[in-house]
Amino acid sequence: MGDYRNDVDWLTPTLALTVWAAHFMLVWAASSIFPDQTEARWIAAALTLLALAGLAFLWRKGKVRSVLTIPGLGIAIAACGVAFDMLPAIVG
Amino acid sequence: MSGPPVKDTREAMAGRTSETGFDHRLYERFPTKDPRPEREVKELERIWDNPRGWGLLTVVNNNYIGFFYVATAFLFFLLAGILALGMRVQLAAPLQDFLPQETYNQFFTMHGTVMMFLFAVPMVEAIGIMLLPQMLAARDLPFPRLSAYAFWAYFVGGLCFFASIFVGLAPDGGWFMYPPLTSIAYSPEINTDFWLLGIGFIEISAIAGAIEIIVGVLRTRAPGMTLDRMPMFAWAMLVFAVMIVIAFPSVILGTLLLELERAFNWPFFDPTRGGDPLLWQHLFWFFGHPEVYIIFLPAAGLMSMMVATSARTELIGYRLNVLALVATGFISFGVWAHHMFATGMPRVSTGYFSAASMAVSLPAGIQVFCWIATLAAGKIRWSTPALFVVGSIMIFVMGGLTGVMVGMVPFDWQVHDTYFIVAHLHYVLLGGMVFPMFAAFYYWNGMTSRNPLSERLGKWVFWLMFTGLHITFLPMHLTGFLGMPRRVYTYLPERGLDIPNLVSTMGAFVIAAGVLLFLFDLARRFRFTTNHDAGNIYGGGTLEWLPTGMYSTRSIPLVKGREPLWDDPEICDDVANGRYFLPNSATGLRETIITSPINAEPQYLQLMPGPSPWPVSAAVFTAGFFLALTVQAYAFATFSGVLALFCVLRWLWETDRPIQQKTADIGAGIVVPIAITGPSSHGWWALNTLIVVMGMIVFMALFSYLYLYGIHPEVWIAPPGLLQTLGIAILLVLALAAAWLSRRILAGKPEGEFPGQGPWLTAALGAALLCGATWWDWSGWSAADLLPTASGQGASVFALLAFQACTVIIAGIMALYLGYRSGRGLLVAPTNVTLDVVVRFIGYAALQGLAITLVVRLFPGG
Repeated sequence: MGDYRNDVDWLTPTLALTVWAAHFMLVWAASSIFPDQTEARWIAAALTLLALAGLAFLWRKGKVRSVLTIPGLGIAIAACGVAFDMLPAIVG
Repeated sequence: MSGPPVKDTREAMAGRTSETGFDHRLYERFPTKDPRPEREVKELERIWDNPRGWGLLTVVNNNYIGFFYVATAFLFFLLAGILALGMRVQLAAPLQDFLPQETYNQFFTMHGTVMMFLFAVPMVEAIGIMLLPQMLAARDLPFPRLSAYAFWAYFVGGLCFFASIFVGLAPDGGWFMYPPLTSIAYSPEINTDFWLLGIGFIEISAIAGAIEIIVGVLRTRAPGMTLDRMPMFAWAMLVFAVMIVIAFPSVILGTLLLELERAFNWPFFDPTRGGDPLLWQHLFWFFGHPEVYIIFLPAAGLMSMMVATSARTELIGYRLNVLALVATGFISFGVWAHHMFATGMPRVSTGYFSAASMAVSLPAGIQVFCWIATLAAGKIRWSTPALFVVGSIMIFVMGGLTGVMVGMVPFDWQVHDTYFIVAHLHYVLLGGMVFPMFAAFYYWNGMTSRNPLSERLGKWVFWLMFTGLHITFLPMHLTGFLGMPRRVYTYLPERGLDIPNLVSTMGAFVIAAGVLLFLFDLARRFRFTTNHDAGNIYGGGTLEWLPTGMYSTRSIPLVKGREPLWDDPEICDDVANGRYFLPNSATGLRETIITSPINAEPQYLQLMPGPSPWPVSAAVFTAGFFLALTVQAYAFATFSGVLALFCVLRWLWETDRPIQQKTADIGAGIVVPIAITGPSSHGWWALNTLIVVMGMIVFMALFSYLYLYGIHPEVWIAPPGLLQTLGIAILLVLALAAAWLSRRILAGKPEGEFPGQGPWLTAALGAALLCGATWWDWSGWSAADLLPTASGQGASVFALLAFQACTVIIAGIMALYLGYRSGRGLLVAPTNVTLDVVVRFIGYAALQGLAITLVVRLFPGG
């Protein structure tokens, strides 16, 4: 009887988006604390690597097989968000 | 049958793969075969019957409260719309004198404030309260009295707030109330105080509703309705309510801080004393931009359901849509400062917010494509709701595109505070919320009215509103490009602004004609009913279309798919004939089944309170409290506050009654416990949600403290010594231990036995330790010569301590209340809901105190 069990992993995408949120808040905090920006850019780079590592960990832990699954897509959206947020630190 | 039938829940507990141990083979017993006695329906009708006449003030059932709520929110929509018409008449031609400047300022402030705070959020919350119980096939939402309190607080507070415009005391500083314009130096009258206290109060009501919705969606779904089978509207309301819990504390804190500055000269936003006006903008927009999605997401949930019915096919990309809702909820918290691009933030910071502002369009786009794909895949019936749905998609996409434009910093600098922004936000809000709301009115009116609304007039309403919207707001893009700023009461002739403004005014009246026609149809056709409704006019497939009465559905169905009525044509008869869960009242009282949060497995039976005068009384006195504070009548405020507290305690008194019956048969021989405590109980979820709200207020207050430190570290003084800090921390840890011990003492007593006064005395000791720690903390800072009026540091430290003091006072009152119940012999071992709530609150207060004490004493030094 598998009909009455929730078979979608909603926790992994939620955690992935939490990683995005934490990354965003921290890079913004760094940019506010270091208004001359050089330190903020380095911190943003380090945090981006950390966030992407966290997302990779979620991918492994959640046994995600494809980006076409809900957990996979959630992680992909979060990863795009993290990478996109990094852009202003490089080119901004 | 895939396995042998099991006899009761003890056997069910043997199941190894379910969320709670419930054996899913028990579901095979439904629908039951034996006929149910007819008297069960009569009994349900008797139990769920409501008083008439003035007694309606005491009803708590969602059918009534939801309807009152929707009607009140719509009233505010009309009132704010009338204000908008007044403004448009004023702007129809240059140098008009229809509205004096001061009145115009009040009009645009009230228009924005009422639309955002008194119409949009309450309306979606109202629709949730009205629809969710039926959609989830619950008898009611889990805290009906909380719903009633939230509604009456909103109703009384909202009307008092709106009435300020008739006496010239309406707020006039714009709907976002930026200081220093709203500081006491530039706004010395009480207009601003009306906004600050009124909105703060109404937001408390919104949070009460959000707690109700979170617990309702997660814990009162029909058995079998797993997360993956939840109606899209329920998903949307869940995300909406979580967003309220995260976002609204920020604006509540902001309003409190600005009011403290105005009333007591605490300089949070005064840069000459270590404050910063931009702090207000951060606090406001951390709420303000998610607010847009808070409004949009429930409407998107409604749209998803109506799209499926209109196209007569299941929603394409259901899971994608859910993911998009969740992703939108998250990313919307990363865009608040795009309202502050013109304030001179650091360049990289603006880049981050610009990136997030564009990123949020991705999940919103996913939803739009799901709707388009569903419409393309199905066979559309061009009913009035379908027209509003399709129109809404078009309008919202147009608003979204200009949103991406203003997400780009250089473009935003050009159009900031011009009519381009007015056009953008109206496209987003009308397309994202108002049109879906009208679609929902037509789609769901069959649930609450004897007669359906007219399809023919409905199409006229749509075309008038759709055309009027474009006539009004499309020219405003041009008006903005031509440089017309927002919030000006007039403009000079021959600047190219005359014609676009005149066209916009004509369009506004076309929209008004559409709304007027809707009102005419409403007056002609709508007749409120709870049990003789027009029914499923458009052929929806979800549970709200089951036959219902005041008790919701006769029996609570087993859900096997996302569109149960489409999947099983027999389900309506089976439900109406009592062949599913809870076909009767198992205890002779109001009750509903509490299910597990993920798989919706039955866990226990919740007893629900009936009509009561206490929620409305508490709401009236709470409104009195805030109103009296606004006019600085502190004695009356105290009087109202005490009465409000008494009413709340009196209403709670009846909700934790010890009953003899410990278990109940909820149908087909399935036996579950009644009213449990701990992590499985719905009360545990509600208190935790409240704790998240309070935690967010503290989090934002600590953010404010650190923000001001970052801006003006030169005015910071050294904190009191480490030894004192250690002493305070020890007291708080002891309070935490006392809270834990109190529960252990109760748990250690034999079942059903009165445990003596030990548990509550231990809890009271915890509260006393909290008092001691707070007093010591306060006096420590005072001894260090820090004054709340001296600097941003003083203001933020004492604001944090004041919040902690309020929390501790509440904990103390709760401990005394527990003592009174204990003295009346109402505390019974081994578990008790009231004690559980009180000691967990004391525990939370201790942790909150630790966070406040340590961050402000250990982080920055002088």
